[in-house]
Amino acid sequence: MLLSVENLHAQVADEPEKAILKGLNLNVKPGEVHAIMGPNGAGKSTLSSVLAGREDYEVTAGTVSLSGEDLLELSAEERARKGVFLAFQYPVEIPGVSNKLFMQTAVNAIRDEQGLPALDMFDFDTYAQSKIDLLKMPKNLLDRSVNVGFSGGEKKRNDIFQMALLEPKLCILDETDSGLDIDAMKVVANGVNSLRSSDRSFIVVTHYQRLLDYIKPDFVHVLFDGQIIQSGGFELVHELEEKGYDDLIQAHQQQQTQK
Amino acid sequence: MSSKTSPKMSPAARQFIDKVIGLSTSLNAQTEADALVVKREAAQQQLLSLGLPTRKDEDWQYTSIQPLLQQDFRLSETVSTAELSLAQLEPFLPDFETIRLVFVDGEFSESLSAGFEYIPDGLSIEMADADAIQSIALPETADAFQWINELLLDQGLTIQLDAQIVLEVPLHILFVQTQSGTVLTPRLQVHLGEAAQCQLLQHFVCLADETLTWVNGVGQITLEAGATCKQVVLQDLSDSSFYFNHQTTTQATNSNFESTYLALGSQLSRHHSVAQQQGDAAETTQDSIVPGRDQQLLDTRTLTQHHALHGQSRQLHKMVLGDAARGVFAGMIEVAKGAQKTDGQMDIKSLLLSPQAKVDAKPQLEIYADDVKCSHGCAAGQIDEDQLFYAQARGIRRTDAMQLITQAFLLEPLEKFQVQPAMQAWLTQRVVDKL
Ligand SMILES: Nc1ncnc2c1ncn2[C@@H]1O[C@H](COP(=O)(O)OP(=O)(O)OP(=O)(O)O)[C@@H](O)[C@H]1O
Ligand SMILES: [Mg+2]
Repeated sequence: MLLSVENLHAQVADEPEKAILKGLNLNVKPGEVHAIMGPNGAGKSTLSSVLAGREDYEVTAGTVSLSGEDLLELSAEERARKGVFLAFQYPVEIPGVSNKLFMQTAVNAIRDEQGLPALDMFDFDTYAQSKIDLLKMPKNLLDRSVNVGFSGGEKKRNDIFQMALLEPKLCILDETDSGLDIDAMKVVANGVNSLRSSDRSFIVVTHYQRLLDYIKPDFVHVLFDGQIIQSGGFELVHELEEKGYDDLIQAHQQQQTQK
Repeated sequence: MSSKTSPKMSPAARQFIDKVIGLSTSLNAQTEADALVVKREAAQQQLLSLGLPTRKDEDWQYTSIQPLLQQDFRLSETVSTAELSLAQLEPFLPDFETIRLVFVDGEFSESLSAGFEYIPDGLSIEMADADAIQSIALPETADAFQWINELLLDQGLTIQLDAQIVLEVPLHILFVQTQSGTVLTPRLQVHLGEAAQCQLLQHFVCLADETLTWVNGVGQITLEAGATCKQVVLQDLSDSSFYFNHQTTTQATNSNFESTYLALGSQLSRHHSVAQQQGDAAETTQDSIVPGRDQQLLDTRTLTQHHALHGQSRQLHKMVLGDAARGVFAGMIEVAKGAQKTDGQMDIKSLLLSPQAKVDAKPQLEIYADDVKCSHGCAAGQIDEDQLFYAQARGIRRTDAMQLITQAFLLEPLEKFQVQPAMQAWLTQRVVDKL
């Protein structure tokens, strides 16, 4: 198992009354693509953040392991070094820090973890250029400040570009498709598909079918009220698209009250 | 010391002033030029009647000079500057071509200076004699530290660039302090003729980290019509040193004064930049970069006086304060009645890296014209956790991420400083070394 999430409970660190994840289970094998759907406020971004190591959230119960290693023990940067990548729902602007410096630092941090020598400026440039072409990013991307002055869609593409550079083991995409135009969506889907391999897994959080049509997930889960209330194959996407979440939610709530 | 109209002063202040006057008297004994002696004596009267500022003075509310008063300063002994080798200066020398003027403990060193081949016709550099100094009067509004400069005035440096002369190579004026416990009172006068252009790099350093010195400078810069001066003041004294500097820039029509102050050293510093736009369509930039740490108190002040039409002024002040460092800023944009179409902007942005660090910033506007565009902004905060997490989520260590983010924050004024890339890179490295 690449990722194993068991009975995960999490809350906002400084609001102990408010549980967000309430016993979530998820297992991801190498090479698998899992889609997570669910209504607004269900806890999808919280799950992504907890997996990536954001300290705003406190895990109150449950375990998370990556290739058998306890992930919750690790800091955000250690998780990233071990191959966890989060494409943010809202990528962050860092004024004054160029994409080049930012990503060269990141790539070398991960190479360091893997025992590989650091890339110098020239080697990094060559490496980055190949990914710029793959994701059809603007040529001056590297010289610009991280996400500053980028449109919403450009920011999302920049996160996928970063993912392509870092070649992680577990890629978590939090609504990377929202705010993308049709062409950008294809570019992102191509980016994801080109990174697919037998040892790299994906968790794709989305509200829409379109991205999933391109990348064809192996499993689809519905997250509601901090739990996964339904799992299935790709066909579940079509069902949800037609019927919405209402039936599932009602069934879940009935089950809860019966308990 | 007959006409003592001096205000009430603490015993420490009293004693400090007496010592400074003592130094002045010993200078007088060695000075042949009567004019200079007269000037010093007049300064003495001014200082006595003004007294030294205390926290009760509005302009000194956040800046206590107590640590300075506790020191016992003397004048530098005349040393043979040949004792200093060029190799010892290596850490302070830029890797780009300059005309380099080196002063060791205030004494000009010809052997350590260089780049004279770049001096064009029309550039004169003089160690001002008594007559030249005589012509430079301090304004009536001068504060105690300016009068102390005059009280201990010995030699000034006068730089004159004739009309139309463009100095391609930056002028690097390096003051190296080697003797601990001494006071340096540099007086710089720069005059740029019509459409003349130059880049000035005023640089203050201590030879050794242990050297404790007090630099107390006064500068007067005049730009004739269409002249351009890019100035960097690089204050990189030892962490125990003191730095006070007051400069006044007078600008004629269409002139452009672009300055950046880098407060990299000292335990207590105060840099005061006054710009007076007297001709129309003048442009002024007064930026600063202030990385504070330990117990440093770093004070930056500006006064921007718009007296003419279509003037533009820009200020960007960046402070990054760690440990128990304190940053102080006060800036005033004054727009006189006739100065219509003035466009003035002043921004102060600070990052506080520790709960003990503190910033006091006071931006002010005083506007007497009705058709102007002036604004100021002031922001202080901690480093953005979202930015840190974003970087960490890419594998960048938290400490490295903080470094990246604070560096970028602090360096913004240098990023937009239009000088040759080599100079920009060198200055950037000086700042980065402090973080
Ligand atoms: N830092 C926080 N502080 C307070 N409440 C939070 C915080 N983070 C999440 N929440 C709350 O937790 C719940 C789940 O939020 P989350 O962002 O995980 O939802 P989501 O499934 O990603 O929704 P969306 O589809 O709108 O992106 C919401 O009610 C949200 O308001
Ligand atoms: Mg979300």
